[in-house]
Amino acid sequence: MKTLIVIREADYGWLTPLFPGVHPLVMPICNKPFIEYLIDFSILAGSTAVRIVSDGPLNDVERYCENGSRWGIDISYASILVDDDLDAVMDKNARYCSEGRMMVTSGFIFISYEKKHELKPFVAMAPAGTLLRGSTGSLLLTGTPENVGEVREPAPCSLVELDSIGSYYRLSTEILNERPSPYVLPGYSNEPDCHIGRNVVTSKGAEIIKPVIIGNNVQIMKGAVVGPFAVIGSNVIVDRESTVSNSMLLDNTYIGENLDIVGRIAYGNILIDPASGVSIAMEDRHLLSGMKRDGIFGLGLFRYLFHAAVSLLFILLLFIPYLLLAPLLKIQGKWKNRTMTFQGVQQGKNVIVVRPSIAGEGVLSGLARSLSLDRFAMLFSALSGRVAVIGSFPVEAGRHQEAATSVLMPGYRPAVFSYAEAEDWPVNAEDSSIVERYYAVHGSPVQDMVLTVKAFLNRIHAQDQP
Amino acid sequence: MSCLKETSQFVFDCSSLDFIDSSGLGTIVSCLRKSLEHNGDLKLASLGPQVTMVLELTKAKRLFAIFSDAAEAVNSYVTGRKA
Repeated sequence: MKTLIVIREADYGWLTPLFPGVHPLVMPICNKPFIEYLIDFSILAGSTAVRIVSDGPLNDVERYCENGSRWGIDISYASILVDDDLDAVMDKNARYCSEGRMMVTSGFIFISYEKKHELKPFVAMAPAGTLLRGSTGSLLLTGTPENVGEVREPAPCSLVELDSIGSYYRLSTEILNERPSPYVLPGYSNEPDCHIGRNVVTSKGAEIIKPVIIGNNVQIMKGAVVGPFAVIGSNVIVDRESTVSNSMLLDNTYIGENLDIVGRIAYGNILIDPASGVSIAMEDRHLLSGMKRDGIFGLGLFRYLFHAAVSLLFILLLFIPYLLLAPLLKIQGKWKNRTMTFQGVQQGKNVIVVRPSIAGEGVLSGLARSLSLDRFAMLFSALSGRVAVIGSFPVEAGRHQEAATSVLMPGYRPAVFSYAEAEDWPVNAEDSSIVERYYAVHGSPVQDMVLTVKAFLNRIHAQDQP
Repeated sequence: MSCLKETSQFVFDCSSLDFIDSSGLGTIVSCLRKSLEHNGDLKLASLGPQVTMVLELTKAKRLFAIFSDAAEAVNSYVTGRKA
């Protein structure tokens, strides 16, 4: 059996103003993108292939789902016209739909099911026609039943219409409230009602009250209370003494100190009341924010001068070791200069820097690496303000091209040393982003200097490790 | 706050207020504090949904007596009615 998922822009018109730039199919419901629920349902119903069809852009969905190999099925994509009805859609996908049984979902609908129920035999035996119907969408079957037998009533699934922010909020709350969960939810769970992702840091005095779902790279600061009924996305900071209950914090959200988030949805700097649909875009980094973005070079002028001064100090400190070691390693063939292009602070504006690689296990190579001589040339870029002396681990241009600086890595600021190195966190874009995000909010010039020294010393220490 | 010489009982009619940030909120809370120091009060009236959200978010809502319109808030000083 195959599945055809048909979604039109008109189906989710209410969602776009509230969550600009977020495709509804990748919109998280309890930290799981909406499309994953549909894919899970299709697989449980016996589908081996899914085609997603829309009259709008599907780039984000394609980027997330790719070819479906993650789920062991084939996922393909197709476009339709705004005026195409379901028959026209089937005609346009005639080759895909021609082989046997088809399950078709139409509209922005959520199919409620139970992962333990036997969906496959039911769908295989159900006659062709509409299985579930609502005012905003439907689920139907075409083609002859695959198995003959008596169809069990009622259907082991039901339809939830997503037609307002209120329905979206209620659905998330219901999923959180269901025990045991009928769906596979992301995160680690060794007790009921509690799903925790990777790199979740809970400060002393912070409290988590079930039921709760927490994503990856989350910091819950001292005195903060999360839950009950809280869904916390990835890359989120709940600052000191704040309370989050009966609420959803979507990815990349910073909640300031001493705030009360009760019965709300927060997305970056947007706060939504799901009951009334009222939303407010906060332009106040003390309260709720996506991320602050400073003046020149992504730094404030004072901070830039501070960074330039620190770079100069490091240049003076490393100048003689560089003069001694670099030529020797070049002669040995262990020093290779590479010109690299990194994403700059502003999207589309790249930074070109020289960042050599030091190969080999010898004493000289180890000494050069421990003194961070591979970063020596970048210090001049920091001096000229093209990069910061400490900030984000630089991301090569071309990777995460579209989301680059504003969505995937809010607060991104390419630097000689990264905050993750200073804190000795795993250095990769996903894991280090939480540290970078934290310091982008809380950092100060003096703290930057301390962390630069820390990062430098950590690199020396790293060379001592076996 | 020269007006404190004339009265310490205030009503802020917020019917035209669409947005408030932490600095605006800080100013209103400061006004409330000054009023209370002079044995008065500062009451808010006609709050829009977005301003209400900010007051709830910052826990400032519990500091103020809030009325649906300015006349009701003014009368409350006479009748002693609570919000």
